[in-house]
Amino acid sequence: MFQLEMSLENWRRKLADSNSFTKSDIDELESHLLDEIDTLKKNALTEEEAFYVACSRIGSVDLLSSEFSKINFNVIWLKKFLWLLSGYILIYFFQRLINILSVFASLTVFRFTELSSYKMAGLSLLINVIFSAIILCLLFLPKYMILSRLQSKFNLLFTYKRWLLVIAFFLFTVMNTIGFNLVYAILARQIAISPYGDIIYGQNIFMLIWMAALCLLFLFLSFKNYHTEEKSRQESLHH
Amino acid sequence: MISKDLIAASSRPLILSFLAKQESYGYEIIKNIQEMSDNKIIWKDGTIYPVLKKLCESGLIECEWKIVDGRNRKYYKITKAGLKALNEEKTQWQTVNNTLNNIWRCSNVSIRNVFGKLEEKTC
Repeated sequence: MFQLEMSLENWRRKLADSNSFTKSDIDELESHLLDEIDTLKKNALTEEEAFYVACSRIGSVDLLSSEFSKINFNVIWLKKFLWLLSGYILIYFFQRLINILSVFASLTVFRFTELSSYKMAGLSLLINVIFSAIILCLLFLPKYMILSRLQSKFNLLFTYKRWLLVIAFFLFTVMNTIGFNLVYAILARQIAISPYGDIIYGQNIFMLIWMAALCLLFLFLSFKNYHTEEKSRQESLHH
Repeated sequence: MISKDLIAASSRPLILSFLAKQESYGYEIIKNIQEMSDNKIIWKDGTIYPVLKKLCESGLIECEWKIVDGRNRKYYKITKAGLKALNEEKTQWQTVNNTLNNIWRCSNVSIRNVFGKLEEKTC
């Protein structure tokens, strides 16, 4: 069964995902679509047919988004900036969370085993690697694809409920600064300064490995791109 | 059908002229202009809205959301600045129109030849 509401909702979502529209743009386009559907239905089309004809008449999402992106330059820029900012806030959040988990592990599980300074750093490194691997898998594995879901959620919030986005930003920032500091204040009473230093050391080594991996990945990708470009250029020369 | 470039160039004066007559919303503007042009000016529907938005931002028209027949619609109205801009557009388009007509009328027209001499031409 065709349901107009559902199809309209999907269409709106596609527009919101394409990053070039404000809420009022989408509302206006939707009202146009509904008018067109009404007119078409008077010409003896079914609701479903009317919907598809109206969609094609109003123009593809690509065409609309390219036209609107020319005038919504500021909004698009703001959106990109906020998307980057939310990435930064989330990375910072997870970094501190993992850090606290390391401290917590050394205080509970390994409480009675006196760990040497190397082992402490190694433990912290291990925890970092495991948690980062889990987070990366969740974000990028096709089975979960949390990143794309996150982005579409972000787009919806940005277009329709910007205040909710602001609250989320605010909460994360409070957690990143005051929240974690409070947790530290409680934990820090129980941990000596030297094992804490080892934990930080392990974390720094992880950051180093992480950066090196990113650089290698970047080099690999650009080399691969260069290679394929070169290949296609040679092929076109042959032709 | 009118070429894409000409449609793009004429959308501003068309919208301003239509709005000078009455307050209206996107769908109505499109359909009316399509009708008045004998279905020769057909905008790819969605593309009129960026033009309207741009006109709004430059203050030539103003917009307002209204609920009519149970549907939320964005109504546009021309401003004083818009009327002024429309007058300028009018003179410009009339100049183009007159020039083309003068050339096409095919009466005796003085055309400067390559040596700069005025020649009487008949066609």
